[in-house]
Amino acid sequence: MKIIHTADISLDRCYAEQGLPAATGRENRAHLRACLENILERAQTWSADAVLITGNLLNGESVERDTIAFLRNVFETVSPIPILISPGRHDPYTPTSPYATELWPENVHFFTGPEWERVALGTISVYGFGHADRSLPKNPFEALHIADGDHTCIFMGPALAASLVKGEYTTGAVVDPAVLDDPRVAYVALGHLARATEIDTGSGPVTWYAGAPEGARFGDTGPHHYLEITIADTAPEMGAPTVDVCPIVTSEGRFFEMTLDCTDLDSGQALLDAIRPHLTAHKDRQCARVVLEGALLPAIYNEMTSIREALAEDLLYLDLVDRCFVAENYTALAEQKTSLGAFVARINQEIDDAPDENRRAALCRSRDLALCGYRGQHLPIRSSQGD
Amino acid sequence: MRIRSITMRGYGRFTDREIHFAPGLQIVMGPNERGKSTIRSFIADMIYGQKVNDTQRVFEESNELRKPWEGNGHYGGSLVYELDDGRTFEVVRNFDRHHENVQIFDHATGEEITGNFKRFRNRELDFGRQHLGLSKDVFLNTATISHVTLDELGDRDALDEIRDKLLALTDTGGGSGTVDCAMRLLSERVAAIGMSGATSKPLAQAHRSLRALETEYREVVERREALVNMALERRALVERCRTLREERAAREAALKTLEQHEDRERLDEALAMQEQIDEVTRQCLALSHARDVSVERDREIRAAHDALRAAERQLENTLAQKESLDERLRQETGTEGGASAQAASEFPVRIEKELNETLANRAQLGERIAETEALVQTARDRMDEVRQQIEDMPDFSRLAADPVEWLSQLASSFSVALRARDEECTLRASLREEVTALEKKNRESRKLFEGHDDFSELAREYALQLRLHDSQKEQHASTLHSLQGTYAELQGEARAFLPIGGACVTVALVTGGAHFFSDLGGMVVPMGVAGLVGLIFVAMWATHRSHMRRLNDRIEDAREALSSVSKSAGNPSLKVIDDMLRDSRLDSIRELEAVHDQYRNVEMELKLRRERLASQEEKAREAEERIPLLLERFRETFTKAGEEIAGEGDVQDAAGRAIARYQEYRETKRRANTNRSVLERHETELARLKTLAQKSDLALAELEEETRTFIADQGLPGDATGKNTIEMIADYRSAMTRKREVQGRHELLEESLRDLQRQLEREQSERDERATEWKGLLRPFNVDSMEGWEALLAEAKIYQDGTVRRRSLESDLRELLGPDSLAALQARVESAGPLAERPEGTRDALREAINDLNERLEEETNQEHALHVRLTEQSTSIRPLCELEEEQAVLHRKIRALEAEGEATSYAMALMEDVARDTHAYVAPRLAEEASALLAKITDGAYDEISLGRDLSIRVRIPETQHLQDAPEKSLSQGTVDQIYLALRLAFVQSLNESGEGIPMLLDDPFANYDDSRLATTMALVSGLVGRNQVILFTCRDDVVAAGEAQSASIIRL
Repeated sequence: MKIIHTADISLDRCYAEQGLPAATGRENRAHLRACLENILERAQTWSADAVLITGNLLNGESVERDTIAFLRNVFETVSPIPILISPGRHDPYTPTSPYATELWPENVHFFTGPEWERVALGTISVYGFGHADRSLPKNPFEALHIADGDHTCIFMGPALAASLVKGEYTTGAVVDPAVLDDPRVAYVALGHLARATEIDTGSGPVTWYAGAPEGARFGDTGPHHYLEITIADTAPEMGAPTVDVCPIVTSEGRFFEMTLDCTDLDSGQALLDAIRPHLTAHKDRQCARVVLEGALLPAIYNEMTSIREALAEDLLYLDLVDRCFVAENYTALAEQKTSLGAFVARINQEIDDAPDENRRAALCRSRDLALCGYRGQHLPIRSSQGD
Repeated sequence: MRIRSITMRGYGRFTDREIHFAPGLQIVMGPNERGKSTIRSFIADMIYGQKVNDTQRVFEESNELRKPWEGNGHYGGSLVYELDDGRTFEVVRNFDRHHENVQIFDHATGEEITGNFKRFRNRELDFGRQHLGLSKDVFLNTATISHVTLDELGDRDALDEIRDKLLALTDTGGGSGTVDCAMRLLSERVAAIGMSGATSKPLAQAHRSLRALETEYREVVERREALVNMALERRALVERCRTLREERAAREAALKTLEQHEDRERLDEALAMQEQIDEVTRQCLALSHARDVSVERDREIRAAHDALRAAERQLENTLAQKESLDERLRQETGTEGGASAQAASEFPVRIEKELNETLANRAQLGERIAETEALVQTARDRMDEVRQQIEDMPDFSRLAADPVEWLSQLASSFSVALRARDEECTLRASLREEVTALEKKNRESRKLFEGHDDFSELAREYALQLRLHDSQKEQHASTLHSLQGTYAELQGEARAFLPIGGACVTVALVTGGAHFFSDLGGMVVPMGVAGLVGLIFVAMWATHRSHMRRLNDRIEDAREALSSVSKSAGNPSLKVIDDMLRDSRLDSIRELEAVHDQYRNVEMELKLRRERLASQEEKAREAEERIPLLLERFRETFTKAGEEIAGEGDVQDAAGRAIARYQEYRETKRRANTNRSVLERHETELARLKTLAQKSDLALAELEEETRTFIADQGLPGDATGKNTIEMIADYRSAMTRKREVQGRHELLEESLRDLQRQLEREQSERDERATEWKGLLRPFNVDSMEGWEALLAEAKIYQDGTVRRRSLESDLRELLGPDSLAALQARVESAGPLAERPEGTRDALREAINDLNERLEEETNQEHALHVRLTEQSTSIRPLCELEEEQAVLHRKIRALEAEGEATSYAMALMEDVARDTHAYVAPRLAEEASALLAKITDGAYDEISLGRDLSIRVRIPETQHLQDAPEKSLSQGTVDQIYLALRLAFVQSLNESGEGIPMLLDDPFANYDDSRLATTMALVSGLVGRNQVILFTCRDDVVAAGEAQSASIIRL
């Protein structure tokens, strides 16, 4: 039997926390749809027997109607391949959720609550659960009873593996596949982690997180996957079935983040040359955040607009974060017997005494602005990153 | 700090230039563009380096600007300076970016102490700031004092401009940056952000946009809730539709059962009708042979039979006419007999045609032979004439293969030889002139340097001696200056001691006299004390005088030593250089070296030119000798071509004439050849024509023989009559005409007979066609007579009636079965199996119920569809929540950033204002006090008070009114304003001395508007500053130098 396992696609994801403008967010959301389309297309060409989506197919209940139409359309396209969906913590099966209010094709099945539900796929039985709200039992496997007639089973649901839990975890279900000491259990499909991850269950069943097919935030760099699972359907007397899991890359990573120390850069071109090799290493158009730190010549500040434009040419979105300070020996300047020296000495002291980083950053900025003011230099206004 | 010396190994215009500075007032004199600014820049770069700041390895523009003009591979040098505590350091720098290096040495011990100083991450050392307490900018802007004119400052607000400069120095130590400017810039920044609530600024716009977005967001949330309700309602509608569809399915099943009952009844009726059809079919089958007989064809068959009878009658008439014409032809043949049996033959056209053509050709050939014989004779005459002309000309064929080219080459080579001779001679003359000019140019220098091949060595020794001399002179001058100072001090003291001593002695004498004459005992002690004091002072005076005398001797010795220092004393070889300088009226050894370099260059050039001239003389002689030899050789050659050469100028013309003659010769030869070929062609043509005439005569004889033989063969007399061939042919043709008339009549009768035969054949054919057509019409019905046909026609009519009945029955059956076939109906009834109970109601009632359900379903479906459309429309008319949230987040971030930027700017402004107020309050009174003292000295007491406000606004007390003038420039002269500026700048430098090292002052010609008196006073003042500050004064003016010399300043001339 051939199964495709994916999760955490989060269609209609909101990128407000990442600071992306609406147009970029729109493109990213279209990209997420394309990822799902590609996965379902693969299900058809690979002749998959089922597609498992373990949680967070949608991003909350505030999903758009055209997204629902899109889903209905792509699910119908792969019909009759069954599509089994476990609603996750972000898209629970509530009476007002699209899963409940909308009409779905025949080949789509939702696991509507925290109780285990069995779906037969030929000789294999799939047991699944989903979020009906935000609360779930700590370990759903404890309440599981496998039917007597089943000889090969798959479990699916959105939950965090107990081995990954550190400290008190209260935001979702926690499962421990290791308690399933039953040779009939071939595979446990989980969803909750951003990356495709295999869970070591010892002698327990093969357990994988499919991971999201695309990154969701800056710093979330590197490739993302979905899983192609092949289960050798053996006779009951032959023992546990053989399971082969193959992660397939869906994206090289849409988000990229880097930090650059600008201290030794003497021109805007040097700054450009320092950033470009990192960006061009990726073939896809990306959302990139470049954090500039260290000392920067005021002259380079004046080139920042053209630098931003030059970098943004190959990118979907560029967030050029300026955390630099003006290149100057403020300690030496404070010793100068001038008003400027006295000012720098005063503000240096205040910076040293600042109660927190925010205040320190604000004071450093005041110092840079004052220095440039004294020297008659123009420092561009920091309005916000990315614009 | 005092700068003792600098060595510029490579820096701007200077290469390996060493300059020693006096510790006090040092004047550097030189006209413009001699490197005064370069020296100032070198001093600053040596102390502070050339980096933009301490944190980055980024070079200032000066790194490029000050690169050595002349490349000796070095860009840098060294600087020796002494601190106020007596420590001396030497800085060695290489400014080359690729070999950048800085080293510090303790000049006293020679030990490298680079490691003692902090090194920044840009490889720069922090010794300059440690030793001076100033940054490079501050050093350059405070220590460098330039001349300021009112033009530069502005006519009306000169003191305001000075105030701004003071403010800039106080605030930033720079040339222009002040707190006011900074505050103004930052205020503009705050205004640009829009912190104060300006509606069109970015911050206000962002707030406004955010409010609008929040409103839209709330509306979208409400509308989305409505959409969810609509979606639920739609889902309920879909459920109702499903129920209706199930009910409709039940009704449709009842209708189907009713239809099965009706099918069975219809099948029974149809089977009865099928039996009747089968009976009629059997009857028709018996008459099936008449099935295909068409009753309508009866008329057609009868018409064909009538046409056959008419054709048989016409054939009989035609046979009778043919027999009559046969009889008449037999009668005609019998009357003519066998006269026409032998047909006459025509005379062959070919023989007649060939005969005529041959006769005409023979006549033409005769005429052409006569013409060709005349042409041959004419050609022979021309040949003789041309041969005679060739014999009269020179034989060019023996001169060369191509005489024209050969003659042209000879003329050309002679021209080349002439031109080469002229060029060589011109070059020789030019070289002679150049050599003469160079000899003349170097005549004076040769007198100067002849016999002094070791001049370079002498010059080096002389320069060394000169530096030694300057050093000794400086040492002696310094000693003299010191001795004079001590002498002046002693003199001053001695002047005071003598009156005091005299007064004390007088007091002692008075008290002694009083004691002596009045016997006052109390006077002894005062007398003794006064006397003792008096004696002490007198003794001190005497000691000072004695000391002064010794000092005077030492001063004289020093003066003598100073005056005795001679550059060339005791060195006769250096005397030569002095003599040379005197003879050449040059001021320096450098200029003399330059003249010597020029002399050597010209001498080398002269040598080269002379060698070239000698070589050129030889070349010119050879060229001149070659011309007569060539001319003689060409004369011999041209004689063979029939030409004589008059001289060198005639060679080209003679060649032209010879070529013209050769061309005439060549033309005559060409004509001879042409005539020869024409003669040969005519002779060939004549021979060919004669051959053709013979052939034509033979052909004519053969044709005559053939004609005679033909006529004889036709039974006519041949050449027996003695006629020629043409006449015999004419007789033969008239005999033939008579024979043909008899033959014509027989042929006419035979033609009529053939026409009748053809008509007979046509009529027989037509009769056969009619018969075939009639039989063809009967053949399909297998009858061959009219009687058989009529019996068959009666049976056919009976068969057709049976067929019509059967068709009627079949039509009724089809109507009963409708779209089904009987077999299909039968199969359906059989497949339906046992029938269920017949449902109640009729088929129409059931259909009506189904239609009713369909209508309700359609209505519900329409409602669902309408709801779906509304859902879609309303969802597309609102923007996605996530987009709204993203836009809000962007605006929030923008607002936060702008507010942070505005707050940072406002805070910077507040702090700057606070700090500046404190700084100015501290600086202003001290600066005013220092400046007032200096101004009093500069103006010799005319102006003695400068007041500085908290904002460093300048006021001066006007002596005439004793009021502090707010706008003193309106009542002060330009020179006085300059002096106020100088006083303030000097005071500023003095104020920097308060807490640190004395700063060397670099004065850049600041005395432009000073009159001689004030210049002398100011120079004295500046000279007085050297106790704390070294003063290096750069000027291009001699009066400044003279004023400096009056203050014993050391002078360096660039």
